[in-house]
Amino acid sequence: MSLLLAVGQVNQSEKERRALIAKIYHNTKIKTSIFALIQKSGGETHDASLIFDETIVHFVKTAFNKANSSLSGELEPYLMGIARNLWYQECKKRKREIPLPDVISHQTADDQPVAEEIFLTKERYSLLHDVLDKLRSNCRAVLMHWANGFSMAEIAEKLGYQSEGMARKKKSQCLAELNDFLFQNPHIKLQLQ
Amino acid sequence: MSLYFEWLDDYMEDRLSPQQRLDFEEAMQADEKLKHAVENYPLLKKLSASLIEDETRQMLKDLDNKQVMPDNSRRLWWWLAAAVFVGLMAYIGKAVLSPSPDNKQLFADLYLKPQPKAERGGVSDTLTLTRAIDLFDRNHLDEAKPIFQSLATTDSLQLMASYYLAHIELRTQKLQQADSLFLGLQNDATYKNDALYHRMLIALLLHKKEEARRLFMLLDKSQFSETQLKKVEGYLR
Repeated sequence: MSLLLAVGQVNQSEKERRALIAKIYHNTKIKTSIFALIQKSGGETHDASLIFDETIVHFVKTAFNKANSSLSGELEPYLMGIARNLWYQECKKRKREIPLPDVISHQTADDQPVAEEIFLTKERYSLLHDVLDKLRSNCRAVLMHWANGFSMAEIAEKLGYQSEGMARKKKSQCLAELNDFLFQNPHIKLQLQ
Repeated sequence: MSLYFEWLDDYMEDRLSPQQRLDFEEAMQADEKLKHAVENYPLLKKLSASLIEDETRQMLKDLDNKQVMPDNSRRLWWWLAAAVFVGLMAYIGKAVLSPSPDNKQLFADLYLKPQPKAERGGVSDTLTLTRAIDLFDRNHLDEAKPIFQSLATTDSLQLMASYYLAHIELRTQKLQQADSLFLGLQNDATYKNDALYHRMLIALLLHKKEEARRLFMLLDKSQFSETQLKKVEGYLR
């Protein structure tokens, strides 16, 4: 599958994203390659499983960002690149526990995008999820598109608002809602910062 | 919500006119939530951007659950299949190995206790035979069986022991074994009629009516009471 096609699918709709994620998730070839890479370099099955999931998350995040809409090439090697870099970062983080394997230590992590934050801690992710879960689904969609660089005209078209102005108004209401929550819960804000 | 919230992006990205900017800053002094939004704009944007990550993680979680679900339901199907199998085996076992109510009645009506036949043997063997027959008569079949098996190796008592062994197998519902033993006795004039009769009974218990009728034809009817023969004929009809 071409990367361009996959990026298009990620940006099309939630339904299309779900379909693509399921397709990657069930792709035995990609999964086996990632598992082989991790296990060959000293990782356990649960590490491989984690990296596989994180690879998908990272890919969708990257593809959904308007700044990255011109990605080209094939999906599979791109995913392998993400997995390799995520594992590289993870090995660096665990340098005292896991010796860097040869296959990784000679890799430069700049051939593919590197994750800014590779793994959110379980607690932090859970907190983030709880905060975001407070938003209504239409708010989630509007804010998600806005923060990832979609214009108000694109948001209106994608999410079915009658005008760009309506989309802007909705975005402002939703942002105010999220802001109110953080304003009223400064301790949560501190944890998320 | 302050109306100025709609200007938030433009304010942060410096797209407001100088007058609009002044108005916005004035509004910010009066509205601490608007001020909070300006001060925390990067965090608000970052949280909003991570909604895609949250959505993806949720989708992956759903996929994980879907993968687990079939496993569980497959396990459930295995349990159900095992339960059905056990039930079926129990039913077959009950139907074949233990007599159905009809078979019970058939057995009660047609089974004839063995009649001791004169056999010649040593004194000790005869005493052992008497003990075994006594155990048989008192329905201690498990104890009687090994004694008869042992006596079956004695030439002089072989037929008598086999005769009782055949009855033990019949009474314990081991119909095939009983039939084989009776078949072996059929060649001996002393046991022939008894063997044919009980083979006929076994055929009826196994619902092989044709075979039962054939064996009944071979019987010497004079050795049976009229009542007994009528009962048999009733079952053979």
